[in-house]
Amino acid sequence: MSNFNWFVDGTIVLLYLAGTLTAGLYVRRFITRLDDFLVAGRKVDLYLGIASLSATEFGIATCMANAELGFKYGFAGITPGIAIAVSMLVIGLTGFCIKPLREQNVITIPELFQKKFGERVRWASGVVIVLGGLLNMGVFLRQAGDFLAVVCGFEMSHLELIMTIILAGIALYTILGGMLAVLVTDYIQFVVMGIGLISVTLLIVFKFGWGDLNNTLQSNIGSVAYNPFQGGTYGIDRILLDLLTGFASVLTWQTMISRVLSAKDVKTGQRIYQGTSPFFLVRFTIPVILGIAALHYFGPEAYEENVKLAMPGLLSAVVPVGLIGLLVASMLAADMSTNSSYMIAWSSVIYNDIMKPIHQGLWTHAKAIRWNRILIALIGIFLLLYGLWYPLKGDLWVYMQVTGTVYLSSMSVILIAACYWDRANNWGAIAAIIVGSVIPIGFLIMQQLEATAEIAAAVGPYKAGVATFVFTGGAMVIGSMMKGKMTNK
Amino acid sequence: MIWFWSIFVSLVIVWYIVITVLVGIRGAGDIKKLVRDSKNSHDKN
Repeated sequence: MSNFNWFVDGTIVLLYLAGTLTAGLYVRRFITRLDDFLVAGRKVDLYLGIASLSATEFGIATCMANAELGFKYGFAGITPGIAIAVSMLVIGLTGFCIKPLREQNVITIPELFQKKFGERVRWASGVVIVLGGLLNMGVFLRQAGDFLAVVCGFEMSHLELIMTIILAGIALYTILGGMLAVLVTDYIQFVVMGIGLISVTLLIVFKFGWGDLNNTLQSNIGSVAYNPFQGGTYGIDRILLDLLTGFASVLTWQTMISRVLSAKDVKTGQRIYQGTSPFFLVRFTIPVILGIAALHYFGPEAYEENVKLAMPGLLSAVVPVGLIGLLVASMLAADMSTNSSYMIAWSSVIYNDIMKPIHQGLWTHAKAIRWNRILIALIGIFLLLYGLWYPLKGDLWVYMQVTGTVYLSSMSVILIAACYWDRANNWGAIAAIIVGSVIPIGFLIMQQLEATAEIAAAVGPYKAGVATFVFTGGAMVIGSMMKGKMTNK
Repeated sequence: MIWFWSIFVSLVIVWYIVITVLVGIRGAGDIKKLVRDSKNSHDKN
């Protein structure tokens, strides 16, 4: 039974939705050039950049995935957040890769690759980025639907309708207002999300008591809940994968890097990364606390079959009327900012890199913007269909890591090589793309097939993920050196 | 290790409160400037 009250809480949610849509639609009239639509004319300043990047990278799927980590592993589940936060801070301070990338005034990473490796590598990189990105994003809608259904007390049979309505609202302002609308709504969403998450977290901690939450961890998980290095629960291979994906995502994840590319200058881009880096601790810490609280409230058996629903189940039961409306508005805010940014990020890569051989950069701004709008709509339809039928197996966070690895491994290796290795060439880049895609996609297929599911379970997603990074790096070096030798001969 | 995570969680929540207020105030200025600049370049075109 949910505490959600349709009159009080429903009004709060409606007010938030009306405000966001109005703001998003208001700025659509200022879109005249493709740069305005895809990178907001490269005019983004520090605080808006921090708000936008933070809001984008915290969605309902992330919150549920990270709460699941808290429920299963306790505070050890914060480890990926520490890996990403440290990576972002180091890259922001040093400008590693992001400085040369922003200086080139490109819209996407593959555009930079063309300068070093040629058109084919640009096109192939675009395909890999979109493939990995869409697979990763494919589960977002279902998670959002699950969350809202549990927290608001909808029938699960209404899930498809909820998912469609959420997506239609997001698509409307993204299609019309592009990156400008995404940034303006991200700002509103950052503030609403912050108020909601802080209020609910403090309420939960004070309601259950910090000492009692820790007692629950001690009795259910033991000391490994506090130390990811101890025992086999979390494990070294998983920590290593967290570090690799954290570093690679900060360097190449299109939704993150697009904030650097939209920044008004290189220095601002670096400062956006520096300022946002602690947010990645928040992104894990708050959901992990909610996950631990769900374990405390329900016990380990109640949600054994679907741990992801434990956190929304807890919130629907303990958050009072009024605050639950703010919570739903804040989670909708989190999800809308994520989905809108992701849709525009992948559409920009499809148009800018995959469709490059068709338009050759010669189409008028109006035609280019029209095509980007069509692409965003098509991505929305894909998300709806994929979100409905893909049966998720294993941890949600692991699924997102594995699908993300499809492109994180090859793109990070190629980006580093493009920026800092003179002998890198297109053979190495193509080899890295092939190896970086085959291993994670193969692993996902093996997980789904009955005949190979046991082998996939024995290898595990962490070793497969780490192997992807190692072999991709090797492929880049070997491929580049082979071409070098052939040319010398 | 409990003390470590207790301090860690406290610092993260305090930082989040501070950054939400700071970005809430300063970000509004950035939004106004961004919309004004976009409007100006739109009018020029």
